[in-house]
Amino acid sequence: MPLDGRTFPQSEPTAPAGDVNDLLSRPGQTVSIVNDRGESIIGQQVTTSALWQRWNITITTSSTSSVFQVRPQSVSMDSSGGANIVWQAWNQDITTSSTSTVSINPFITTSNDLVTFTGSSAASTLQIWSSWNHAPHVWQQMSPEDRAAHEARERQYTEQRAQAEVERKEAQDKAERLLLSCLTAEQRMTWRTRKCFYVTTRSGRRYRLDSGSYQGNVKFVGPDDTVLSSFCIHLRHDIPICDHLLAQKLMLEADEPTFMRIANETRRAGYERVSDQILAAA
Amino acid sequence: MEQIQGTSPLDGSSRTFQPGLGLGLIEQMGQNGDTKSIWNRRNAAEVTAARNTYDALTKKGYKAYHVTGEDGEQGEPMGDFDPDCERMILVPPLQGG
Repeated sequence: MPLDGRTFPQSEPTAPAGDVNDLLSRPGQTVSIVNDRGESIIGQQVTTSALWQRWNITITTSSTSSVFQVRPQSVSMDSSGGANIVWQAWNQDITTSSTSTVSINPFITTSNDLVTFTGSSAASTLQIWSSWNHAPHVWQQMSPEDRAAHEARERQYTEQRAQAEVERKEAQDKAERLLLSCLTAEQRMTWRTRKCFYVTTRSGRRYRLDSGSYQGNVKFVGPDDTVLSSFCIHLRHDIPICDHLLAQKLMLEADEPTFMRIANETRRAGYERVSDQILAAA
Repeated sequence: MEQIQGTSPLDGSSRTFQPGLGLGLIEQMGQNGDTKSIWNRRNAAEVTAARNTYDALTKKGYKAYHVTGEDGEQGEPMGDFDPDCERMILVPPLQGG
């Protein structure tokens, strides 16, 4: 999800979900695995439970590995050859630590038509399937008409995503202009060089407002810029980050106690909570 | 402050804001950046439309600040709509993370 929390349209399979057993028992059907961008094969998605069922029947494991890869193209096959081929192809590249657990971390990356599962933590079968569901799927090949319709929708999604990105950038630019119109010359300079700025409140406390994240981006800092506490307080996530910063600045300057009542504070070990001090004095 | 483009809260027509010309400006934060409403502070109908905009937003929990835009001067929190206020920013509710 982008930083400002917007969501973008995702491509979805158009045909209803099928069962892997039915799919693989029909001669002449091509079954393949695509990556999470849907780049290799377009078709009918197989139900998760059926996938896992088949997987559990067929999989055998041999050794431990924390990094392994599946080549989506290598499992493309004629289903008349039998379901085992899919799993054999899968098993050529995957190694696991035992028959009941494998070393799959939910974190997955895809590149060059390889799906890579990385990590060393042992995962339960449920987690394996969860990981799988975030990356490749098994699809049934579509008719030319369905494929054309699907590709048209893919183009539409791509255009919508591009348009959404343009609008997101415009919103960010607009919010940045509003923020800059409310900053001092010194704050603007800091913003241009470091993408943050400092606010000194009426209590004399100094805060640094960072732009890198919505979470805990308001820092109470010491004279040497050491972060003594972080505060998590934000607008709706679909609002551009610069508007968050301006909202935080306005409230800190105008009403520091209310800011402290709303925000969640994470203090540095060994230091008192700033919010307690401010609220006690309010 | 540079010229600011916006729309009238009364009829949605295009407006340009410049300080010191008897105009009012509401900058309402939102998903697409802020929406700017610009009205003539000497036109009663436009002032009423601006007040309605202000009241509708503050009822939704928006917080209003009077800002001058003069080199980052601190914004002042507002209660009721002030027709003499030249520039105000309306901020959606902040929440703890």
